[in-house]
Amino acid sequence: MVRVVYPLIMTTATRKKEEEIEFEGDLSSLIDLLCERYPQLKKVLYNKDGFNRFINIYVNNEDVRNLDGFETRLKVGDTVKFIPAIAGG
Amino acid sequence: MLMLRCIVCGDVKEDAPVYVCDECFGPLEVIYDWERIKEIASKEKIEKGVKSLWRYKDFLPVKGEPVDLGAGFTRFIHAKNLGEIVGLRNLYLIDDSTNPTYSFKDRVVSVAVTKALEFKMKALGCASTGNLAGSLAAHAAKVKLPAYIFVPAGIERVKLVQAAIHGAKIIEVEGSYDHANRMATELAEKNPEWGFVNINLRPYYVEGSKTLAYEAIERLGWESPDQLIVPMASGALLTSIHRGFLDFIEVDFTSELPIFNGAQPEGFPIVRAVKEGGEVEPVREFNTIVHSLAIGNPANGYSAREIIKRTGGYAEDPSDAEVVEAVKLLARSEGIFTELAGGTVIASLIRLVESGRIDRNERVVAYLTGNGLKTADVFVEEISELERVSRYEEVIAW
Repeated sequence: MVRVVYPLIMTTATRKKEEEIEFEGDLSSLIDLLCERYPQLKKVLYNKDGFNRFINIYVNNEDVRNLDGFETRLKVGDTVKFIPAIAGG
Repeated sequence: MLMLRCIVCGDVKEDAPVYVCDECFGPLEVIYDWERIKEIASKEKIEKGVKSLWRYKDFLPVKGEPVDLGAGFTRFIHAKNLGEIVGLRNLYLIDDSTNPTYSFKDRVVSVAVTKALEFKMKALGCASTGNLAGSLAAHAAKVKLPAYIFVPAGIERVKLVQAAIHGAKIIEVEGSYDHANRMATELAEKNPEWGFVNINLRPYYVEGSKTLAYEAIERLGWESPDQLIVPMASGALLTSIHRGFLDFIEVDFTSELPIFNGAQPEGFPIVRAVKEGGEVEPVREFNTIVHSLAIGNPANGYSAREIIKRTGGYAEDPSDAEVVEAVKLLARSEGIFTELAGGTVIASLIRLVESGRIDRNERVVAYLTGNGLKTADVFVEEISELERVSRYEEVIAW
């Protein structure tokens, strides 16, 4: 199982703050699965330039851009968090 | 009437402690009723106002009485000595080391804490590398709210003394500032009644920095300078100063937008994007003594890069050694001891003049955002070998 944690503004689409998902594959496939499950998510996660740059994704508290990006392999017990990028400074 | 607007999709929201658009995740900015501001604001009214950032209250997003520890309207210095050394006739410095907690953060915190009171929030918080911690803790003490401050593990204790003295709860987070910031962001999600000044109050917080633009214009006789040098960490300061210039152009208090130049330590993403022309890609590993500018994943990096590009500016990333020398140069030519972020600005200024990007006759404003005593540890070696005497005759003999 992979644990997925959503920020408040994604819960309009997901109707839940987090969930455990039976999943095997990379981050990109997980996002495809989530968009299939929650069709409203697609317009939040993607825009005309591709993946929304105002969303940061973390796997086990590490920014995926420091891992293998969307090709980051997910394994049982991993936690994936979507966090708004606009904070700090 | 105050509202918030998404800078990406343009969706408008009500005045509330939110910072991200629920349609597209874009950052929110405050929008003002410009017709009303044009009716109530005037240069004369500002000139007769209080000697703090609140002389510009008509341009700030608050309704009631501001929380004012006296931040802003700091020293504006025609730096003739430094100008002569670097080759500029009209170099001006805005010196925010004289703010109540000795950095520009008092400007943003003053606005954010005023909003926190408006929203009846129960606690205050932030992620910080030091300057914001001290400022937030002081303002929280003044308004009698608890303050929770998240700092990167291993941060020098001297940087936290201010916050501790004011009674804030300081929490160390494993990793860098970016880790502390992420944890604070998650907590802000869980505790919407807590005002995290640089997270859920961020649209208001950043407005405080606009006053650095207003002051440059007012102090130059209601004219814009030709070029600016602005330190960059998240890029929020540069984007806010840009908004400040646009505000005063909107109400006809000035007519020109200056050229924006950014200053960041070596190896950081915004400068890299400006110099290499690519996207602002976060960096995970970095090593600099300029901790107050050490943000590897800058929230406003994209906007800052766009403003620099659009206004015809550039960005520089001096080495730590250049920064240290620049702090000394400023201290020994103008009598101003600035923190390392200020050294980064002066070192960048030197590079920009040497490369011909700034002309000798242009009016240049450089922003010094904090006091040198905050990073004095770097300079302790300057006094490692002192002359010791027991009689005054020994001194005369020199």
